[in-house]
Amino acid sequence: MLPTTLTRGAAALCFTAALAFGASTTTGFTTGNLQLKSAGPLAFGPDGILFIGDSVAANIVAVDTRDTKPTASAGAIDVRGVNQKVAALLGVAPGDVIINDVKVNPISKNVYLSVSRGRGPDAIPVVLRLDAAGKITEVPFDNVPHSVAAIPNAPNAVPGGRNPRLDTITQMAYVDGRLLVAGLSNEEFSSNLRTIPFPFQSVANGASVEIFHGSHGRFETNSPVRTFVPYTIQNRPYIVAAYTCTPLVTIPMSDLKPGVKVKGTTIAELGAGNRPLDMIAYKKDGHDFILMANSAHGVLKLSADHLETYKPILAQTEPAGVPFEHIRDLAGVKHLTSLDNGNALILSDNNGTQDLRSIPLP
Amino acid sequence: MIVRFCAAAALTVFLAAAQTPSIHLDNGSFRVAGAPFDAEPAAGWSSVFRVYVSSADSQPVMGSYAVENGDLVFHPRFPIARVAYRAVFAPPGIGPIAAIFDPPPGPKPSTRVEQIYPTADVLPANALKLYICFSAPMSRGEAWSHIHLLDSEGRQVKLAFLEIEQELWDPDNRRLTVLFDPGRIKRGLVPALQDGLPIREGQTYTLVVDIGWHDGQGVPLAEGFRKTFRGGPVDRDLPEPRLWRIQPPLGGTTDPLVVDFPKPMDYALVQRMIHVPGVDGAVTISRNETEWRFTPATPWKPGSWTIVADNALEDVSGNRLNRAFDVDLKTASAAPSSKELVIPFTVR
Repeated sequence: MLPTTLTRGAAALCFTAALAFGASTTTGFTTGNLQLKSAGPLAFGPDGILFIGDSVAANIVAVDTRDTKPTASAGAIDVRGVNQKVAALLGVAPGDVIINDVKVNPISKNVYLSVSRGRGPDAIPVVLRLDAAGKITEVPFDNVPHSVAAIPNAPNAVPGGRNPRLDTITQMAYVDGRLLVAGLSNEEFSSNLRTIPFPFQSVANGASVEIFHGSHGRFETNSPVRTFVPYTIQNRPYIVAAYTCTPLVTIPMSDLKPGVKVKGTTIAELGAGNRPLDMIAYKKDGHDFILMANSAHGVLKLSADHLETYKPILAQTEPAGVPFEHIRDLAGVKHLTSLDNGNALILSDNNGTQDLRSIPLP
Repeated sequence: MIVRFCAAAALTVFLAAAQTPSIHLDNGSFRVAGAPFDAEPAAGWSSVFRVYVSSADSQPVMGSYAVENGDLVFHPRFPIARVAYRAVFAPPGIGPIAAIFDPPPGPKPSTRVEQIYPTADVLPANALKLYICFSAPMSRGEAWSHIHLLDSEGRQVKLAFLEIEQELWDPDNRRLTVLFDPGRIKRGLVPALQDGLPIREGQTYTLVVDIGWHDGQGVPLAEGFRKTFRGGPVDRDLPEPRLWRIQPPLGGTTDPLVVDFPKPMDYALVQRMIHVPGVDGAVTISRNETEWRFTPATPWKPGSWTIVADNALEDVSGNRLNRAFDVDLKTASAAPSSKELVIPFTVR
C-alpha cells in the first residue's frame, strides 16, 4: 500500500502545461492525413498539441488534438489489463500490441497511449485516448491539423538501397517554445539530444547537441541521454537527465546550443545494473521531488530541493549524491507520467499483464 | 449456436438454411446474411452484432458497420490478424448466433540469424557493440529474453548488455544493435567498479540467440545461433589511419581500391563513413571487418585521388578516429576538431 497520509493539491512542476500561445501555436500546421510509420514517445505542448515521435520515419509529428476542455483534477484511473483491452479493441492477440508510451494531456487530463499494433516491421502505429469515463477511443490520423519536423538521418551507405541507420527516439519534452528530443543511434555511439523550436520551422529543425559525461574528473565519454525531465533550479531552466551509462546529471537549458560542448553535472549515481525509464518532477508540502521509474531499482523518490547545493560527484564507490528512497509498493513500473497536481499515472507490467492506474504522488 | 470456421478455407459457408441468419468472413469483413436489416437499432448496430478476438470476451473489436446488399457488414478498423475471431449476432427475439473463425495455419519457421558482427573470434574486453543480422524481419519487444551471453562454463553473464526497451533495430527489423552496458565499459562509474567489464581478457564466451525469438510474422526462428569468442585485451587506442594500408588500383581497370585496417572496425559505420569523392561504386567489408574494398562503377582514371573518412568512424570498442570512447583527460591530447580525415592516393 502507498502512504495514505499524503496531501493533494501541491503545485506540480509542469513544463508541458498549456501556454498562452494563442493562434501562434498552430503556425505552419496543415490539415491532412498523418503518415506515421511508428508511434513512440509522446509529449504534450501548449494548447493540446500532441507530439508523436516516429523513429522509423525519422519524424516528429505535432498534432492539434483539439482536446482542450480544461479539467482541474483527474479522477482515479484503474484499468487492469490495459494491454489486453487494447489488443482486443485493435483485433489482435494480447502479445501483438506494444504500449510504447503514456502521457496525460495537461489541460483535459485525458490519457494518451502510443501503441504498435503488431511487432513486425508492418506494425500499425496507433494513438489511443482514454477519457475520464474509462472509454478508449482512437485518436484520428485522418484530416487533422498537424506539422512535421524531420530528424536528419545520416546518408545512405548504398545510394538508392535500404538505409539501416535509425535514431530511436527515447524521450521528448516541450519546454518554453522548444521540443527536446533524446535519441539513440543504432550505429554510432554519440549524444543525440536535439532541440527543435516549436512551432516547427520549415527549414531549421533544430540541432543535435554534443553532451559528454565525465567521471573522477578524469574520464570523459560522449554520452547519449536516454531519459530526462525539465526542471527549474534557482529560477533557471535545466534538464535532469539520465545517461545510458547510468549517472543522473543536471544540464542547464541555456547550454543546449549547437557547437557548445556540454558536460552534465553528476548529482546521483544509482548503482549498477539499472536503467532509468521515466522521470517526473513535482512539488509537495513545499518541497521538490523527482520520481523515477527504473528497470532494476523500482521507483525512486529523489529529494530535489536546492539541487544547486550538491557538490558534483567526481569520485565514488557506491551510490551517492542526491538522497533518494525506494517506493517499495510500486513494482514493474514501465512508464510514469504526471496526471494532475496530486497524482501520477503509472503503467506497470506483471508477467505480461499491464495495468494503468493513478497513484498519489508519494 | 456456435459454428467454427477456418478463416482461410470457409469464407462462404452458410450456417444453416437460407432463411437462418449466417455469419461469414468475407475479404476481411464480417457479414451477417439471411436477416432483414431495414433500420439501425436505436442502440446502434453494435447492439446486435459484435466481433471479438476469441480470447477476449468483453472488449469488441473496433470497426464500423454498413448494410450492403441486404447484409449487415462489420468492417474491422484494422486488417484481420492471425488470431481467432468470434462474431456474435444477437438480434432481439432470436437466440444469439456465434461463429468462430480460426486463423489459417502460420508459415513454417524459416528465419535465421545470418551473422553476428564483429565476426572475429577475439573481441576486446571493452567491445561496445554487436550487430545481429537476420534473414527476415523480426518482432520487436522480446530481444532481451532471447540473447544470452554465456561464460566458458555455460553460466549466463548477468547485465552484460544495455537492455533498452525500444530495441535498436534498423527500419526493416532485420538488424539489431546490441550495446554492451556502457556503464561497465566507461572507467570510474559504479557499474564498472562493482561489476567490471562484461568481457574478461582470456576468457571464452558464447553468445546465444535462442530459437524462441519470433520473426515478424510471429513464427519462431528456424534455428538458434551461437557465436563463440575469446576476450582480448582492452582497446582504448584510436584507430590510427596512418597505419592503414592502402592498395591503389590500376588506371583503366575497375579493380577495387583496398584499405586494410590493423584492427576490426565497426561493421555498420565502416560501410558508410569512408568514401572516394567523385567516384560512384560499391563497398564490401571483409576479413573480419579489417578490410574495406571499393569497386568503382566505371574504370579508374589515372591521377590523384583522395579517400575521405568521417572522424566519427569507430572501432569495435567505440574509439573514433579522433577521440577514444573513454578519454583520459590527464593524458589525452586535444582531438582534431575536423569532421573528416583526408588520405591521398594515386592511380597510375
